[in-house]
Amino acid sequence: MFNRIRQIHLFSAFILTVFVLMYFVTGLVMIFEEHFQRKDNSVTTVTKEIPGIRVVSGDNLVTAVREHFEVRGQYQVRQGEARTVISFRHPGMEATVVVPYHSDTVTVTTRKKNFVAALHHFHRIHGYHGGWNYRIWAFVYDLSAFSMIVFAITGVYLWYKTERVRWPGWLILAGFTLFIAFTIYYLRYLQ
Amino acid sequence: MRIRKLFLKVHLYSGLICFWYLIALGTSSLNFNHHFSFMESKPVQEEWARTINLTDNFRDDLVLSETLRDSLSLIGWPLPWETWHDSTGLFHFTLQHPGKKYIVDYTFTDKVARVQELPRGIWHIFNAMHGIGRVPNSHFMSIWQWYTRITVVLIVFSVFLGIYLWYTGNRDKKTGLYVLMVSALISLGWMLQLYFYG
Repeated sequence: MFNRIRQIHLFSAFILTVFVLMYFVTGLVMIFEEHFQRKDNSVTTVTKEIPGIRVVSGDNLVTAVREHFEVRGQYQVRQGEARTVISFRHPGMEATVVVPYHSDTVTVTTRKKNFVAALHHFHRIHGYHGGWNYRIWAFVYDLSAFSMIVFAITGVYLWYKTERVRWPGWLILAGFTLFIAFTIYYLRYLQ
Repeated sequence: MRIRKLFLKVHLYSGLICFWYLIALGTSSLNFNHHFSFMESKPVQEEWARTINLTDNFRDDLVLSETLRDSLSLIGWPLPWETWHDSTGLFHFTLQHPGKKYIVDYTFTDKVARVQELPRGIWHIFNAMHGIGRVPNSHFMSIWQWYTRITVVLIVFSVFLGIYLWYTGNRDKKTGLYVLMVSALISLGWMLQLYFYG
């Protein structure tokens, strides 16, 4: 049993090490944001006339925009005041496409982000949408999330089986359990 | 061997310190991807009022929101997009932290702040622990912020320690090394693919 749990702890870590590390390294960049500033390296705006685009909607509109402009990544479509706004995002780049309801003139504003902003984006990619490469990412993201729970639980088991003197460990676990419980209680009931 | 034993202890006890944070990271990340309905809560509204003496000479709505928050002994971030004045002299703003949302209406004429509290569920708070950091006007949450910082550093350190412990304590290193290298190459390749062509 001990060896099997150890193998699970070890090989789930090996398979996902780089992914999990990426989440914690990008997390560090986010936590210490005052030292790692996000900014746009460049902002460019392009306007183009695409005959008939005003009558296109939904996925066809996204496809049409992709055919005419260098935009990629996960996207979000919003209906604004007399216009459709599509935001495309991938690590390192954000593009906002504005398609007016009553005109065929499409405006695309592209923001190239610095490396810190790209790291933030890597940390935040989620959801099973945006193409096959993002779906696979979302699946590995799920695996990484699940593996964190597995590491935590198998880690406690391995500690329990490895250590003969267990009271310091129990003390740490109990202390942090109380800390978490009090933090939840504080946010829910005291404030 | 002594060093190895010491590293093993550091690895084990780091794991215990980080246990709850790892669980919170795991569940919240799964929730970001799937939006589990059982983790959503229906807030039960509570209302109360308090007299606060403020003069109508604030030029900045954010400063006014923060002053009212501090006078009411509340914690959280005022939301600028849910802040407005109206012609009757009412000042309205929303304040938020992972545990609650407050909708505050303050009237300068009678100096009364009417507060609607919308508490969030336990799952919401637990998942928010993923990245709360500091909460304005709360000294206690600064402790949480430091716990988060230390934990993330400890986890990164612990991953490398874990690899070292496996490498020094295992006879069959080939299989593990292959798995590690192949998975590292695929993961890095995937990240580069998204960065350049994603």
